[in-house]
Amino acid sequence: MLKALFGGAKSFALRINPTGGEQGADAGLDLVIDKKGTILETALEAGLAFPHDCKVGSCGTCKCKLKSGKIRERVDNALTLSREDLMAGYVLACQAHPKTDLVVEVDLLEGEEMHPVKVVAGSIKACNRQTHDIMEVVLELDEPIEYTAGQYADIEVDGIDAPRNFSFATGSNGALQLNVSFLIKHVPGGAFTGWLFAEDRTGHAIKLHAPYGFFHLYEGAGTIFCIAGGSGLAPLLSILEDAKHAGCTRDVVFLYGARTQTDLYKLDKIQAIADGWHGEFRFDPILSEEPESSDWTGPRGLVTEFIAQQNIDLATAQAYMCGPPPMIDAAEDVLTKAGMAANNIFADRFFDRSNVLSD
Amino acid sequence: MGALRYYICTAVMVAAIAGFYLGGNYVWLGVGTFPVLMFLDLFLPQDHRDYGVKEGVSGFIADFPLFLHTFLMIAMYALFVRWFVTMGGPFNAAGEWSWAQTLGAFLSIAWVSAVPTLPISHELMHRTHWFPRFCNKILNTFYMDTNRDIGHIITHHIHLNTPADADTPYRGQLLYPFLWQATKGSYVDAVEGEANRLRNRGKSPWHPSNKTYMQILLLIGFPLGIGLAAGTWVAGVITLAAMFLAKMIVEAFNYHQHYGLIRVPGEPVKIYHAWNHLGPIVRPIGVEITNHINHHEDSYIPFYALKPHPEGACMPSIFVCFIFGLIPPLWFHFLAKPKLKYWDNNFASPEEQKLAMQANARAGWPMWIEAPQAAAQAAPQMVAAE
Repeated sequence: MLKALFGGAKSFALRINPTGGEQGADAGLDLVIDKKGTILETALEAGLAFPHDCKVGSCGTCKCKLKSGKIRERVDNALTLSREDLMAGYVLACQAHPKTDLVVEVDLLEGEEMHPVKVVAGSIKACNRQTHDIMEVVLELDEPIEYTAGQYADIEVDGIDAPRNFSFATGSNGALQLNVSFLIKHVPGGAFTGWLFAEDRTGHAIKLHAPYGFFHLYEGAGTIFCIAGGSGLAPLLSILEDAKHAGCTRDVVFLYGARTQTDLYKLDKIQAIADGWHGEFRFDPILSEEPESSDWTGPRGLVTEFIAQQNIDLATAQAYMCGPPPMIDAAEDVLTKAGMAANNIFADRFFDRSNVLSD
Repeated sequence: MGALRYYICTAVMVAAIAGFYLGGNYVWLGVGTFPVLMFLDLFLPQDHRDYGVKEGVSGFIADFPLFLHTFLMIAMYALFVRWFVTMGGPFNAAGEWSWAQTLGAFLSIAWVSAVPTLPISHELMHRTHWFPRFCNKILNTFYMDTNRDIGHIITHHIHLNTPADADTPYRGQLLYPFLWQATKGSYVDAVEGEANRLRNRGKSPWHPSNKTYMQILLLIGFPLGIGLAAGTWVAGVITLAAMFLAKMIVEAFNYHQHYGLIRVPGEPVKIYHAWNHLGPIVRPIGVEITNHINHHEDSYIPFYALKPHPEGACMPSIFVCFIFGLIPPLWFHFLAKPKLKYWDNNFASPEEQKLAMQANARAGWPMWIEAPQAAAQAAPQMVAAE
């Protein structure tokens, strides 16, 4: 009796199919859902851009169609969903706990593809120093993976307590990838990056969990306004590379904040993307601690100080930002104050392990 | 250490329980914690620490006083009844009525029924398991709002800081009419929400499963039951009056958490969309509800993981706010207007600035932002979005 009332966690299978997609074996995403978890939590943890907003069962944004299985409703879905929705089998993913294995169907956010999260073994193929504290790491995988440019992966190494997540630094061009690369910044005192930077780790075995995350290029016609700092170049390079491959004709304004000239890297890659870009492409590195006496003739200061000076139509532009959270918060504030709509600002905040609340 | 702070809630309850156990003038013990806590909150430094309490053992330690609270409230009422049955309540052996003890009992019950009951109840309302949600219903009853969870979910979370949210006071609104607005809003939302829920399930709004019946029964039956158990209508009246005062305190709390803030309907909630009260006492006794804006951004976050935002919209000690709120000229002159002026100039988006100035015009307040898109104009090379 007590076990039935207060019984411990149990897991069930959760399959999420995109609405209107093929229902074949590869069309959806197979996940494991804890009895205490909701469909939404499980999907978000798997890196799926499941539509959602309030998470309390009031907005209805996360509604999805329950194709099979039984759920327990945390808050009665009828408080929010209409009779027609309920009759059609819709449930609120944020309030749905599993009682059995589940299959649901959902309209994913625009541009989101259903790449299944895979756990793949592999090894470090190359470690290429970019600056004194940033390294490009190329992994060779035992089996190929798919991802959307802008997404990230968890990299696991034996002997390090937990996986670390890093954004893919190259585009996938919509194809399966056996070689993937990342730009990794050395975090002083960090267990993983301390290990990585201690010596040449080429050939070392790794395990990759991927892909995760919602960061990607959204449809639009206005300027792609990229703002990056530190190793935040990675997902933006990935996005721009894929956008170029797809024939994107939108203008690009790219501000990159670094301390000194010695912290600049991947300039050749950015130049290669800019060459032949089907629109205007402007890249401005901005240095915050470059000695006054140096030969640097470019802009100096914090990257956020230069955001408002760009001649961009904010009504149509989209901002894509990646870097340390304080930089992103400040940039977001400037953009919002200048009149850019919040739903046109997309950010990928970088955290190191010290920011993680719980494992 | 971070998780142990929340046992201040238990300490307040133990004081109230001990008061009714000892009887006599000790019934003031419960409300006696109020001036002590107020003094400490006012004179100790503000608490901006993120204690980093994690899931697991420390999360359990933080959670425990919340679950315990329901039982302690029941225990307090049991001892309140016992006080009448074995000690005559506020009547001495000669049958003389002590107004002081009546007042002490009333204020003690009202105080603990509002603080820490409201924030604990709110936290349990958002939990996954049926048991904390059941506790939430019981705790809501102690401040006369059994079905508060319904309105909280279908209106407050979605309409925060907009005119559709009865929990958000508009600029210029006094505390006293707001208490009526929020009380009415909470009850109307609950009744309408239940009726719509049943219609959506294909049932009549009068179906026996309508939770409004339960609310009516509990709100009448609970003070009646206390009176019957104590053997005197005085106990029932004290209970009813304490429930009412607790409800007023709860809504006054709403007033100070959301006063005058503006959000464009449908736009995302940002960290500046609620006032922070970061007193060292109110944070633990309010189980972090005084810095709960992250809860509006992501309601899955447990209370002990809510981060204080001293960089966000901040008010002074909530005890100061309560006192000033009772005296409108003090509230408007020293807190509401200067704080909202700062908020408008430093946090509000251009659209929010426009709405804020419209709200100021309605309130007869100064238009402290003459051109609401000043920020955009400060960047002349950018083409402002409309």
